[in-house]
Amino acid sequence: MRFVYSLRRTRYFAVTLALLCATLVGGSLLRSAAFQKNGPSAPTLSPAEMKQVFHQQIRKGIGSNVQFATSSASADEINASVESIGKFIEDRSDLGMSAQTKKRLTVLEQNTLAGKSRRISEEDLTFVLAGALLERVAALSDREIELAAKTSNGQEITLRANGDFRLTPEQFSQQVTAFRDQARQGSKAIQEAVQTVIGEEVNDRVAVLGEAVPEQFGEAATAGVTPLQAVLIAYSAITDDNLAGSQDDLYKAMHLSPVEATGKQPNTLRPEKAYGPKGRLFASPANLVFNKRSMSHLLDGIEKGGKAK
Amino acid sequence: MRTQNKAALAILLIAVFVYSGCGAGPCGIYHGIAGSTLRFRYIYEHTGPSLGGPYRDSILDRSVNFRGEYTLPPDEDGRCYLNGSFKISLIQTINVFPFGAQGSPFNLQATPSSITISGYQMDGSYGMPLVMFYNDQGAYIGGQNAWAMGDDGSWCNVSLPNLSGYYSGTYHAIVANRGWDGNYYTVGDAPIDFYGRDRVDADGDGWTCDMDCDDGDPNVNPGMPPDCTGLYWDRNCNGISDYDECNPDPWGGGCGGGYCY
Repeated sequence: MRFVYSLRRTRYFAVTLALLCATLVGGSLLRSAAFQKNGPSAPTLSPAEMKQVFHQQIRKGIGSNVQFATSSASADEINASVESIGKFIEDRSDLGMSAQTKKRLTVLEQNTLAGKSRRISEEDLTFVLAGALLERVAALSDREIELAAKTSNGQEITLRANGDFRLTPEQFSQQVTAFRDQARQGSKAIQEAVQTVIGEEVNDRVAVLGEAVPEQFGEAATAGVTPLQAVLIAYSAITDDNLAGSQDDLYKAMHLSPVEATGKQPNTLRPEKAYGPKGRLFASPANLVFNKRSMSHLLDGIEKGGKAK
Repeated sequence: MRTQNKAALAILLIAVFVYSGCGAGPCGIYHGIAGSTLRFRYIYEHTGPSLGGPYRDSILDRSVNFRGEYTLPPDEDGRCYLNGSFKISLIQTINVFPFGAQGSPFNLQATPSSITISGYQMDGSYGMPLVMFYNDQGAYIGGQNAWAMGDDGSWCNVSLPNLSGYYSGTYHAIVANRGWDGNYYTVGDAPIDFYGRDRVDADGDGWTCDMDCDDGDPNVNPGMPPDCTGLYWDRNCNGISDYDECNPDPWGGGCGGGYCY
């Protein structure tokens, strides 16, 4: 089985590399709609029509599968809301919300809806998310970096799907090490760079969700988001899951996905997921930020109100 | 500049992601049967929570250092999906013969490009035998088809994989014949001794780099307790975040089978 694993690891790295580049280097929320690529009528749609189709898909996804509680909601209703988001995320990405996180989110959401805590702004969400990411980066060991560079078997590492940003393993090690060292020293430049990237991702999502599902995110840009919405946006930004499409749509998209052609072997032991660490549509290292330690820090930040407090 | 920032962030995420499983140890050790057989087929029943219920399957596997117990390896991302109750109900051994590597031991500083493996029942009827190399830790190094073999099936010549990053120890060359169906069937195992490049302990903490997940920091090694101050991610190198070890979930987890957050 080790033989098979080695083959799969190599292929998986290549796929992950390409998808991460598309996810993190390239772009915006709209580009990742697999449904647009595969939809039979997609090529003939105008940009406005495509946007409309995309918004419909978002309504079929998050709009239909997640319930947000209102300010007058009971504890049970808030609990049900947390459960619906936990299930939504897990169904799409294999990221499972722990009981501890659910409990904590329920309390935070309850306090925010009751007006005891303020909503979190885009800026604050960016700040706490970037902090969680930087913490993990600073914890990288030399060996982790060395092994990551070796994974390409001496080949050039391409950081963008279109072939840009080619690095040799040595260059890769040097750049990652330099980035890690600066993160450890608390470099302002690195913090600002990461916050800029995360800020753009958060801003994209708040804008698109506000238009597509105004009943859920209509006030997000102006009044801020609740803790539950913040976690959902963080999930979307990290995994590049655009929150669109039903489970059925995702299943169809997965089996039309060009990933099939790369030779990536399906994991027959677990149901396949569209996003997350082993995503068939987009694979991303979401478990870096969506782990218990980072989530605890993320919720601490949300509880404290992010940057402002 | 903005694009460069994103590229740098992508590099970091890739670096962390690719390595995320490398520090993980085996998923578990399960008792099988004693013997030196390297190829076996087993049927197992898994009743843990990670697959959402009872699960049965059969796997044709190869493993070196099979000494009466089976070490279940993690998946390609380092995670253990079969982490519940794991009961092996059948192990079916298949004949695998002891082969030899002529010229062993070899100096890792000056390895030959090819070696001769001697044995019997090597068969080239449907293509040259495949030789798969494993290091002394049981990790797969690479596989190549033999480039020559004896008519009587008693020897074959095969190129050695690149061993520049490997260390002294007893390695294994597993020889498999190509069958009529295109699959390869193992026939022999040749232990090969390599010497001349020992593992280092760069930070002097008594743990060599194969065990020490940060050989540049003497405070990180498998002998340390988990760090509950938040300074280290995995100080004891067991693949579990120290945060998780220091902060057990009072509600008992409840994450299902996925990545837990």
